[in-house]
Amino acid sequence: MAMLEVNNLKTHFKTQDGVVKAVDGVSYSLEPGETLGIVGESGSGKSVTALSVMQLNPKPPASYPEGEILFGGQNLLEVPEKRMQQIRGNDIAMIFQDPMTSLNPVFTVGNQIREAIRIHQDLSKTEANEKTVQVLTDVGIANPEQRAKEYPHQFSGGMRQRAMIAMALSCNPKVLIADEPTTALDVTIQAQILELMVDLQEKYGTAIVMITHDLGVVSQLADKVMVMYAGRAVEHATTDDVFYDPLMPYSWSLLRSLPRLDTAGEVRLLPIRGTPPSLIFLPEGCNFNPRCPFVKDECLRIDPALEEKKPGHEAACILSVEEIEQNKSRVDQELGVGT
Amino acid sequence: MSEAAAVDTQRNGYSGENLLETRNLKMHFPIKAGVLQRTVGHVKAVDGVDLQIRKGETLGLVGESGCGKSTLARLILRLLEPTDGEVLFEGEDILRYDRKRMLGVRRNMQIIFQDPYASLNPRMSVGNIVAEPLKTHNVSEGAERKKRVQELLEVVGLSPEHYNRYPHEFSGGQRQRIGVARAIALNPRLIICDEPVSALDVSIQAQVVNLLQDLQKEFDLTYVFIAHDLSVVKHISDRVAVMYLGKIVEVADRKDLYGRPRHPYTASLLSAIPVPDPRKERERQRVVLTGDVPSPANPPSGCPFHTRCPRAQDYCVENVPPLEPQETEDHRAACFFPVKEGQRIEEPATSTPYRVE
Repeated sequence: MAMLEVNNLKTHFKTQDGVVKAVDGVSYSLEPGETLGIVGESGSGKSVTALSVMQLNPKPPASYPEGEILFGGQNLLEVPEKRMQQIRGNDIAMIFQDPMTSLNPVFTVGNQIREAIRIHQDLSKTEANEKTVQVLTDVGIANPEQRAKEYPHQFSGGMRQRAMIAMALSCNPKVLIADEPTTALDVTIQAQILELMVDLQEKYGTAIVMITHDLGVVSQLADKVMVMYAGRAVEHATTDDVFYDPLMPYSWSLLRSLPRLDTAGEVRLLPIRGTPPSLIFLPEGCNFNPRCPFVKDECLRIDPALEEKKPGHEAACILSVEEIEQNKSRVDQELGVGT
Repeated sequence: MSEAAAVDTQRNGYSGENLLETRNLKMHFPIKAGVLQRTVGHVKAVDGVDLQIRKGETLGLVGESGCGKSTLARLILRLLEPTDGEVLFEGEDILRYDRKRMLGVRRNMQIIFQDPYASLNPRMSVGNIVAEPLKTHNVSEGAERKKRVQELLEVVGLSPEHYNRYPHEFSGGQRQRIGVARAIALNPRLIICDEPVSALDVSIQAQVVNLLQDLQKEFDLTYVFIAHDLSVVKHISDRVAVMYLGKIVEVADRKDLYGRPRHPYTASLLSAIPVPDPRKERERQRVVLTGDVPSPANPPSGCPFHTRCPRAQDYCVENVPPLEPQETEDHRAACFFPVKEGQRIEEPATSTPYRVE
């Protein structure tokens, strides 16, 4: 049975200008030990999806008109806040992008980790202390006894993110949601953090939802990938399928717009024209049609649903697989991309 | 060129190939403390940089945050007065110039900043923002200036009707285009791009990168392209310089640097970047560096990288490696035990220190 199942989740925000459909019908499921990568631009609804699972969107303005989030046989959208507090941080933990703003500057790092442990586990102060030092050791912080007594500003960026991971993992969560955990970090530190996450996942069998805009990070970690655009999942398949055989023009365009280390400098980049749409005034028909390189007349009228195009490979596009393949190879030839 | 200037350039050993050159450039920021604000130490943001920028090329400058990339950019433009060293623009040391002559040089050197939200004045219309360099340098007036600005807006892919709008009406990518229009307004020779695409969404990055490449061809520009994203730098650069703790540790032709990195830092940086190719990712052997970048206020002795280097020996702790040519004159690295072809970075170096008896 899936560890976490999200079905047709909708998260809407009421604003003065209208209803923002930040998440508009997203579904996914996560098995133990599995990593799902959620990719998309800023404003595509990646983070709101994560915050919905954690029930951290302020209500109002947020509302969940439809959908369910099933975890351990309960729908998280319906459980009372008291129960949610037991789940949050204990069964489902989250790591945020910016470790500086997600740690409290006036408490020591050890104090903050101990707080998380003592809320969820029935441990004495000394036991919680020992556990704190142990999780700090787990995430590779040298001299953990001393470090636990220090404040966040005494930590470097990479160490703060390690401390955040230590806090998230202190209660051995079943699901870990990582929202751009390495975006604020340098590549050498990013490599350290990603390696740490993989090691800890192997050790504890945690299921990870990895939210990022970095396609490199996704290809390194994820088993499955969901590409989001304007609040919807537009492609959902195994990582290999999405990277080597994308069936939604948006995912394909994203891959072609990125300089790659192996071909950089030889192939011209294919930019995606225009900008992401406003979530209040979405275009008629397919959300991506104003920017799509393969757009047809029908795209301006028909709003495609996510459907299975190949076994286990879902994409939201009215073009047939053959049409997409033809378009892809035509543009690739123009760009001079070898396959 | 006047006779005096010709003599001057000869004295500097100017070959005519380099548009800009820095020699032993240093920027040490004082750290002040106490009631009397006495100087208690220095942050060595840029610590002895020798760099040549050739006419018409794009020189990529990479390194982790805090390595001094942006400070170096500001020193080149003389937006900061360096502690020591020379900046030669077409062979002339611009650090000796007075205000008036400096203004003339600035016409030829422009900068595009990282944050398109902070680098445009929100109270000025787009037209005025782009016209400002023209105004400062007294180029064209009135209707003619307006026409020139509208031309510039078109060149960078905006519409001339955007003239009277304000920055907040534009998206990040469009704002960066405004910054580009401002930078090319005076037909400069050199543009320093300080992380121009880092703040942009992935789908927008390519638009700006392609624009910069097109403009380079059209106006014969020379770029210094600063970024921490090594894929973008590889895409746009002809040569690449890698910085670590205020020093250039390796500089080479793009292909050499990415294909045959000599400095262990470059090699480990390259291995740290995740590539959007899952199969390759699974096969990859990554060298994960331990620890953080040391503080530039208290840099390590000897080679600045020895604290994190998998190959470091005692020798590296005591001696500072010079930036020396490797196989070719153009490929320089500052390492006593450079990584050889086919060698793994972690393999301890057994040879004697490079070029040391």
